[in-house]
Order: sequence, then C-alpha cells, then structure tokens
Amino acid sequence: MFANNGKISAHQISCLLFVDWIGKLLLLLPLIRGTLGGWDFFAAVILGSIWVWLYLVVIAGLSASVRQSFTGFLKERVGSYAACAADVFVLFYLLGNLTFVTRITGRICHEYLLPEVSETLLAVCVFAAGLATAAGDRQKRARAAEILFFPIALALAVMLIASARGIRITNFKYEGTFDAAEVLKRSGAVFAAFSGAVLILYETPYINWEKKDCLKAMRRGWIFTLVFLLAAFFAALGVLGENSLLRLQWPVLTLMSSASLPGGFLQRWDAVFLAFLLFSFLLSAGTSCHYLKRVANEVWPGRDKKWMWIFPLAVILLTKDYETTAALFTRWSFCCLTPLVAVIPVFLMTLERIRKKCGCSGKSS
Amino acid sequence: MEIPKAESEKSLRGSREAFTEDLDTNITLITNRICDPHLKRADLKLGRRTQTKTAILYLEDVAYQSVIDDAKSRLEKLNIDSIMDSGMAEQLTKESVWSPFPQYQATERPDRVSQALLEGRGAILFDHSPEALLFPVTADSLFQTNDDYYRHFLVVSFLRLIRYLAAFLAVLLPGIYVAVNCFHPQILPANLTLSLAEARTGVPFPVLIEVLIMEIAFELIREAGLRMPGAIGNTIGIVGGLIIGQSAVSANLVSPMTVVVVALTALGSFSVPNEEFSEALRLLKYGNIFLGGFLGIAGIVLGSYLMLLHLCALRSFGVPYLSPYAAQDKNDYQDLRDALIRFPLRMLVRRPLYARREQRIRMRWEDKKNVRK
Repeated sequence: MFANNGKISAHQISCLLFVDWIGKLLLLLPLIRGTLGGWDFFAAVILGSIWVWLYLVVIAGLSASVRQSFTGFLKERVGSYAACAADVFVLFYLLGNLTFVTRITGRICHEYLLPEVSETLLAVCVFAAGLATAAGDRQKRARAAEILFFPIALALAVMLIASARGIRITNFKYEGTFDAAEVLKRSGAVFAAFSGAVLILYETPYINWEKKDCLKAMRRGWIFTLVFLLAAFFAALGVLGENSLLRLQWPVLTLMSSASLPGGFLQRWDAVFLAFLLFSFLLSAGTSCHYLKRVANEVWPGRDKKWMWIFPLAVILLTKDYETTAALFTRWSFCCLTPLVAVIPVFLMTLERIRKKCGCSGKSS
Repeated sequence: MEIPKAESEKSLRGSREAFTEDLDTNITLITNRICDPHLKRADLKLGRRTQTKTAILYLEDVAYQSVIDDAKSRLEKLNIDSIMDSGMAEQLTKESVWSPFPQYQATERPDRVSQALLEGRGAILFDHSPEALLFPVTADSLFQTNDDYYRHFLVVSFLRLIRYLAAFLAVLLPGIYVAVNCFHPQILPANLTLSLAEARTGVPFPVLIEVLIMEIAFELIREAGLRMPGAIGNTIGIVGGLIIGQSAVSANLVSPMTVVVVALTALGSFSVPNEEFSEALRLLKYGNIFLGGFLGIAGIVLGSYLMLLHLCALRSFGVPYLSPYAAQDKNDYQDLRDALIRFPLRMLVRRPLYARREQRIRMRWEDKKNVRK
C-alpha cells in the first residue's frame, strides 16, 4: 500500500545516482582530466560516455537476472569463493570511496568555510552523517536523494549561469596537439568515475522496475551528471583559462567564487553554492556506508555488525589528511579496484550470454 | 448546542464553524456537509474508567480499509484507565514516539475534516474534545489551510511559498545568523558586517549565548502570554516584546540585530498553519543554533541533512511524511499540482495518494463541461 513496500522506484534511482555522483565528480574533474587540453578532454568525455553507456546496458541486462540477492546470483554463477572474493573487492572499493568522500569534504570545508575547525573532525562529522543515512530502511536514502535532486541541480545551474558572464571566448581557443593515446586513457578515467553504477546490482531486488526502467533510470542519472560536468568544465575553461585550470586543485570551487548574481546581496556566493554541494557529499558518504553495510551483510550474514564501523572510522583517522587519501585513492581505488569492480558485471554478462546460448536459463536465488 | 467559531485555525473565506465538545454534535457537523451513504462511522469506547466515546469517520469507498483498520486496532489496543483528550490518544498511537513531528493532523474545523474525508483520509473524533485527528498526514498537508481551495490559485500558491519560507526561517534563521557571525562574516557585504560588529559593541556575550538568551526570553513571553487570561496575555506580549526587547538592547545585553532575527524567527513559526508542526520546528531550531555555533554553515548543512533524513524516514499510516516531494511517482506526479504551489482547481482532477487507486479521479471532464454551461 502507498509507498510502504520497502522498495525504491526507478525515479528515485536516477535521483540517487545524480546526487551521489555530481559532488564527487565536480571535484574529481582535474583528476579525470589529467593534462588534456579543453577540446581533447571533450573528446575523451564523449569516448568515455560510450564506454559508460555500454556498461549501463550490461548492468541493466544483469539486473533483470538478479532476483533476490546479487551475492546469491554470483554464488550461483561463479561459486562461493569467487563470489566472496568479488564482495571483498567491492568492500575495499567502498571503503576507498567512503574515505575519499569524507576526507575531501573535510578538506574543502576546512579550506573554504571553516579554517578554525580541524579537517579530521569535519571528516568524522561527514562519516557520522553517512552512518545516519545508512541506518534504518533504504527508502529513507532514496527519498532524501529525490528531495535533494532539485535544489542541488538548481543551485548548480544558477552558479553556472552566474559565472557564465565571466566567460572569455578566447579561452576556448585550442592550442595543443591531439594526443590520441592520452584521450583514450582519459576516456577510461571518465568510465571509472561512473563505475559506481555497478552497486545498483546489490540494490536490484529492492527496486520497483523492469529491465527497460532500469536502463532509463540509470541513463537519466548519468546524463544529468554528464551535462552538469561538461557545463562546469567549459564554464571553468571559459572563465579561468587553460593554464589556471591545469594549476588549480578544485577549479569548480574557484568558479563558484567567481560567480556573482546581478543585484546579489551576498559577497561570497561560493559559500552558498558549496553548502548545496555539501548535501551531495553527505549523501555520497551515506551511499558508501549503505552499501558497506549491505555487502558486509552478504559476506558475513546473521551477525550484529555495528562494531564493524570502527574499521572505516579507523581508516578515516589513519589517513591523516586529504593528500594521503587522494594519493591512496588514485593509486588503489581509481587504478586497481575500480577496473576490477567494473570487470565483474561484464564478466557476468558474458557468462549469462554463454549460458543462454547453451540453453541453461534460470533465475538466481 | 451553540456552535463556536474557529479560534486557532482562522480563515478569511469559508465556514467559521468549529467543533464543540460533544461527539454527536461534531459528527452532525460533518454529516451536514457530506450527504453520502458511503460515509461510515466506527464507534469505540476508550479508557477503562472514562469510557470515552470515540468515532472513526471515513468514506468506505474512497479510503483504504487497511488504513482505517490500522487506526482502529491501534485505538483498541490502548489499555489505559482514561483518555481525556484527543492529544492523549495521538501520543499513545503515533508510530514514531521520539519524533517531534505530528503524525496526525489535529483540527477544530468540520470543513477541514470533511475535505480530508473526501480525499480518502480518516478522522477520529472524541467526546469532550473539540479537535478531530486526521490520518494519514504528510508535512505538506500541514502547510495547507482550508481556504486554500476557496481562493484564487495564484494567491494561494504565493501564500504557500510564504509558509514554506516561514518554516525555513523558523528552523534555520537563528542558526544561520550565529554561523555567519561566528565563522563567515565575509559572506555579507562589508558595510553590513561593519554595522553588525558596531551594533554588537559592548555586548558581553558571544553571539551563540546572545541568541539563546533572546530565544529563551521569547519562549518565556510566549508561555506567559498563553497561560494568562485574554487581555492580560496580550499585555504580556506587548510588555515582553517591546519593553523588554528595547531595554535589553539599551542595557547592551543583546544587539538590535539579534532582536530582529529572533522576531523574524517567531513570525516564521507563527506563520506555519499547524501548531504542532511549528512546535517541532521551534525545538529543532535550538539544535541548529548549536551546530551553527560550532561548525558554521557546514553545521547548518549537517543539521538540515539530518532533519531531512529523519523526515524521509517518517511515515504516517504507511504514507511517506514528505509525500508528494518524496515518492513523487506514486500518484503519477499528480500530487505535486497541489503542493508547494497550487494549480487551478480545474486541473486538480485527482484525489491525493491517500485515496484508493480506483477512486483517485474526483472531477471528470464531462462534469467540468456541464459546469461551464
């Protein structure tokens, strides 16, 4: 009856994906871009989008086969040990994500809003918000994303429009030489940035959708994020120029501080825009905590695992500061864990195809 | 029995009638408005010693029977010696005991109850209680008044935006003021920052304490005004608001800006149509003041996020509390037409989420054409 069925809708999934991705990816922009020039990066994004699109089709195809639990499905297809190994990979991936989100939020809050407060304390506060998100039912997180979607999108749109006044067309002039190998490498980074979509498979049994809805919902969330990401990139390129863009740690935040609204009363709009973006980081931390809880439940079923939150907390505290986390995240999560996690659905889909061809169709447990 | 006028839910247009303390009279006030054989009444007696007469009213073909049965079973389960007022039953049967937000909608207006019944909701009436409890409830329904449907949609939409803004002020303004003063004065224009600093010259307390003092002083005035008989209560308001405020500023106990912020916050909390909802916001305001004082704007974001999470987790008889902003697609996005803004009545052809799916259409195109003729 009503919406009290313990399931989340396709519409909520697209909101969840957008709110989860947008904050992280706006800040990760320099990391994804590397040293590519403006239009080369655009080419990398387009190429990366093709990978992402294929990946979403694979996930949508797999989601139709997963009925009760993704781990159960894995066990059935590849055996217990391989399923457990895959889950452990995902756990590490999520741990990396959580640490990165909490640390990056702590750093930007410390740098742009609260120089008086310790970065670590702020990171712990974000972790606490993540725990609060993961506690209770999954519908809570989905509803929060549904409500946050509009204010975040609106704030970003206003920020982009407000900063667009400072765009200089000359900044778009392309001066570099096209490096196909680098473009291909960076398209991989674009793909890696969206690879978190695989986590949807763990949620599939609790989503009200058909295969078509699944693809539609993921596509909607992805396209919204991509549009904002590209708009932010070109606005930053137009306003700040190529050289500044390569030097700045967080060009989007610099772009926010350059935004001014006509007739605006406030002096620092960046604080307001950043406040809206913080909601995205909090939900993102919550998403990592939620999946950590779910995957840990799959790996070690039937025990009270509240004490396990000590581990992520310890990792957050032990990473000391943002720089350490970013280095670890780039090295391990981005280069190692993400590709491995991304391979899982592709491998499973191939296996499904082979099974179908051999005529061994069957639903998972 | 004489029918009193509505006191706590006044309206500019529409009926002035309010419930009495007699159950049968109250039910008559509703049956006079809804002449439909489907309007059903389930009678109960609550309280071992008081045997308080209670009635659940609903439209049997529009409301979900499971919701009505749920309400009935919650009331029947009450094993208590007395039920003196609807408020007691509300406390004892609400789903989330620790939540400060109301999970029933208390109303003294028979037209409000009738409207709710026609939407597919249920109403509980108690003998010796001049208020009915409507269920299920959503946060959005607590921002609506009955004359929202009697006036032009543009005016009503504007007023609803004002009410939401009022709620925002009631819960966040003092926290933001403290955050900006303590951590982010550079957000404001330089001349305003300077004049704020100048106004605070000589004030011995930090902003956090200053705001807390004024907020608590205001709560005292409010409580005193409420407990005093009518004329004296008004006097207390004037004495408290004007004289004490002015004296506190003159004595350098608080800055004038703090008085303005607290006054705006109070106006915000008074503009929320539902008293219980407004009280919850008033309570959460203190949390935001502390978070703003310790973590600045990041604290306000954290507080707002936690409040949002709490509201997202709340349900009233299975209906998400933040519907129609959450679970938007449950009624094919139609409920958003009567939420933050209200569409013209001609476009509100559907009943809200509360009604049975097969009874969602309340106005048909043919009927509308007849009305036009």
